[in-house]
Formats: sequence, structure tokens, C-alpha cells
Amino acid sequence: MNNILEIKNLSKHYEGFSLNNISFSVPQGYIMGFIGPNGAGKTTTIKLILNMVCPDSGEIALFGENTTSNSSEIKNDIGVVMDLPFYVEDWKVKDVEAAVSPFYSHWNSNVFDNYIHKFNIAKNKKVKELSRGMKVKLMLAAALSHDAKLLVLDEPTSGLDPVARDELMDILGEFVTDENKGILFSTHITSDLEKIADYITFIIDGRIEFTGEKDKLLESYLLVKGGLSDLTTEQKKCIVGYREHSVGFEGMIKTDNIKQLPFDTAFEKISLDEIIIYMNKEAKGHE
Amino acid sequence: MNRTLSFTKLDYITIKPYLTLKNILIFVLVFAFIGYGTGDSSAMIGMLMMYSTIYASYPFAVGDKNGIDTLYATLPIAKKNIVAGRYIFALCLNVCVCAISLIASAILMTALGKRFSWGETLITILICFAFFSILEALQLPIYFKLGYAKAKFLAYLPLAAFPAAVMVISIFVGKDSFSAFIESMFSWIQANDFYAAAFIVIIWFLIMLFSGLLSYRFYKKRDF
Repeated sequence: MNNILEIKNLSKHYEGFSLNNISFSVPQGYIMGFIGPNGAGKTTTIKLILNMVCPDSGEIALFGENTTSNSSEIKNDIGVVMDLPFYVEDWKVKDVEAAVSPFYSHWNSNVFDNYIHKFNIAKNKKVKELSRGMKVKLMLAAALSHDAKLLVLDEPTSGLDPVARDELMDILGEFVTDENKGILFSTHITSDLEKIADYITFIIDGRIEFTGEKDKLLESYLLVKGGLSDLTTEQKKCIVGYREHSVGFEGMIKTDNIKQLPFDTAFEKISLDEIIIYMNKEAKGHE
Repeated sequence: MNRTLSFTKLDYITIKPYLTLKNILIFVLVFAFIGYGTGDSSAMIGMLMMYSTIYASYPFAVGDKNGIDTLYATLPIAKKNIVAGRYIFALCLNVCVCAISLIASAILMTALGKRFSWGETLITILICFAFFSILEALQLPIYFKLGYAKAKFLAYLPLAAFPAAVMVISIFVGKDSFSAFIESMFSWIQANDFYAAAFIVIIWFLIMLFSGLLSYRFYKKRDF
């Protein structure tokens, strides 16, 4: 399986935050969910991929090519949707096309027009007159109109209503039906990823906690609950994000460790959201 | 289309919403007022070129407000093309304003019944073009390094620094010596107009080249 994006030992240090030696890859034909709490390093990683910031060390390869050697040409094959719109607020929708289309060798005005029509965006409207959801759709329309092979999405669904999010998921699902394409989808709304992601990279405090198949991640952990007197100190250490409340405890445990807990402990399937919450609690607990 | 020129076009599209009829009307009125008041086209041309310099910084101002550097980062364009494209945009703007100044001066001076010389006006325009494009060459690297919000105060320092430098030099070398030097320089220019023009063009070109290289150096290292 070929990787459309490959990141190796990437580091970037800021005052108060460091991205530490992160490595992961996005295989062709799949959607990689990039998850983590706010401030974990998702946007920094995306900025590094897009060459918006210079890495201190490490390598980024897109379509097998090192990005530092030929980053501007490579961007012909990348579509980007960020959390905040990056078009001039006073531009009309038709200005957006006029501004960006000359840069792409495979820009297709018909595809752009089709998406604008499909998303019900009026071409004569100014960007500032569009709702947040419409602005995201406008960025998406531009990202999908130049035959991109990789979509990089940074929190595109935050602020969208459930209907708009569902539409977006459909479009992304359709995009990866072409096995030469792939998506890096950064979000903290993990319910979206539970629907469509094939792989998950989980980042926390600037380090990768997990990268691999989504189903493996969900199978690797279980939600655990029990009474207060049930656990020894050693057993508590097995629980990620252990928290006591008035009637008992709760936390998350690695599936491999469940035998270490009492037989009457309750285990439940865990969601991506809960994994982030407990991992975050664990990380904060160690600070 | 060449990507540098595509970027020049993008800069034009960036400032297009602000080239409103209202703004153009203000320019025309100020232009006519100065022309009527002074009866001379030089002040009008200088004023228009000053507006051109202000408009040349608009892509930075609008870009800062809208986070447009993120858009540039998503496009298949190298940073050197971005810098070159912006310099071409600033120069094109100056050339357009020069052409408008020439035509507007001819119309207004004729309408006011004042003396108008195509040759003299053209020389005034060329001097203004050289002066204001050099001012922009000093400003652009500051904008590329700091962005508009941080640079807007510093960027106008060269405009104040020029008369200050003239004043300081005249104090140091003596007012009479300085005046004599300026007079001899003008005499030399009049006597050797071809060499003087060639010298000015070479100096202008070197300033632009150095400014462009400095801007690229700053912009390459900037994180967004």
C-alpha cells in the first residue's frame, strides 16, 4: 500500500509548546482522522505539511516526494480546507475562482460551478455575506475543483450544523472512492470520524499517542466502571484517566489489561470522544 | 499563465473591492483642487504617486485582515514568485498612475487655461516614478518581514528620513557647500544627460534588485 503522505520524526519547538518527533502516514484510498484535544498540535502539524512553518527537524513526503525540495509544485495535488476562511471577506464568490484558478494546472471551472450550485452559494455574494457553513463549503468547492489527490482538512466541521456535516461526510466518502486519493481530516468532533475514517492518528501534547486503523484503536480500549472498594493501587495504575466519584470510579483500560481487574468490573465499548477525554485526563494527571 | 503574473493578478483582485467609485472621485477632486490652487501639474502628480504608494501596500493590509497568507500557503506557488509578483504589482500600479497623471494633467491644465508641456510633465512623472518606486523598495521588505500591522509605522519612516538626511548632511558639510554640490550635480546631469539617465536607471534597478532579494530573504523565513 502506497502512502500519499508520510511524516517522519517531525519536530517543531515553540515557547510553551513542542511537537515532538511525530511520525505517521496517510495511505492512498483512505481517510485518516487526525484527532486530539485543543492545543495538541494538530494545526501545527498541518501548517508544517503546507510549509507555512519551517520544521526544526524531520521529514515530510507527499506522493513520495520530499516537500522541501518541490513544495510549490506538489500543492497542485493538494486541496485544503481550514477552520477559518482564508479568502478576502470583500471578494465575491466569482472573485475567489478568478484569484485561485490560474495557479492550478488542472483547474476545472465546470466542477467548481457544479459544487457552487450544489451548495446553493450565489456567485455574486460576497464572502462576508456567507454563513460559516457556506464559507467552509466554498473552500471545499475550491479544494475539489483542481483534481487534488490529497485533501487536508483542519477542523472543517466545527460550527457546522448536523445536516451540513452529513453532506460533507458524503462528499468526502465519495472523494476516496478513487483509490489514488486520500484525506487527512483533523477534527475534535470525533463522531464524524467514527462514520467515515479508516485510520486514526491521535496526538496529545505534541506527541503521537496512537496511529493506525480506527477499529484497532476502538478495540484496544474499553470503558471501565466499578465500586469504590473494588480496586488496589496497582489495579488503579492500569486505568487510563482514573477518576473517583461519590459512588465509584470510572476510566479507560487497555483491552490487554482487563484480566488485572476484578471479575465483576463493568466494561463497555468506548467511543473516540471518550478515548480523547481519558487520554487527556491521563496526560494532565502526569503534569 | 506564469505563476508570478498570476500572483500579480491575485494582488489586483485583492485590492479591487477597494477601488471604489467613491475613492476614485476623492482622487479626482483632490487632484483638481491642487491643480487649481497651484496652477502647476507637479504637485498633482506627486499627490497621485503618493496614493499609488499607499495602494501598493493594500495587499499587505487586506491580507493581514483576512489571513491571506494561509491562502498563499495552499496555492502551488513558491515564495520567490509571491515576492516577485508583488513587486510587479507595485510597479504596474505606478506605471498606471503615471499614465493617468499625464493624461489628467494635460486635461486639467488645458481646461484651466494654464501652460502645459508634454516634455516637462513627462520628466516630472519619471522623477516622481523613480522617487516613489524607491520609497516602495524601502517599504516592501519591511512589510514582508513584519506584516502590515506591525510595519505600517516603520514603512513610512523612509519618507521622513529623506528630508531629515538632507538636513543632517547640509548641517555637517555646510549649507553653502551642500548647495554648491547639488548645483554642480544638476549641471553635470544637464551636460551629460545620456550618462545621467543611464546612471539613474542602473541605480534604480540595483535598488529594486536588492530590495527584492531582501524581501525574499525575510518572507522565506516567516512562519504563519
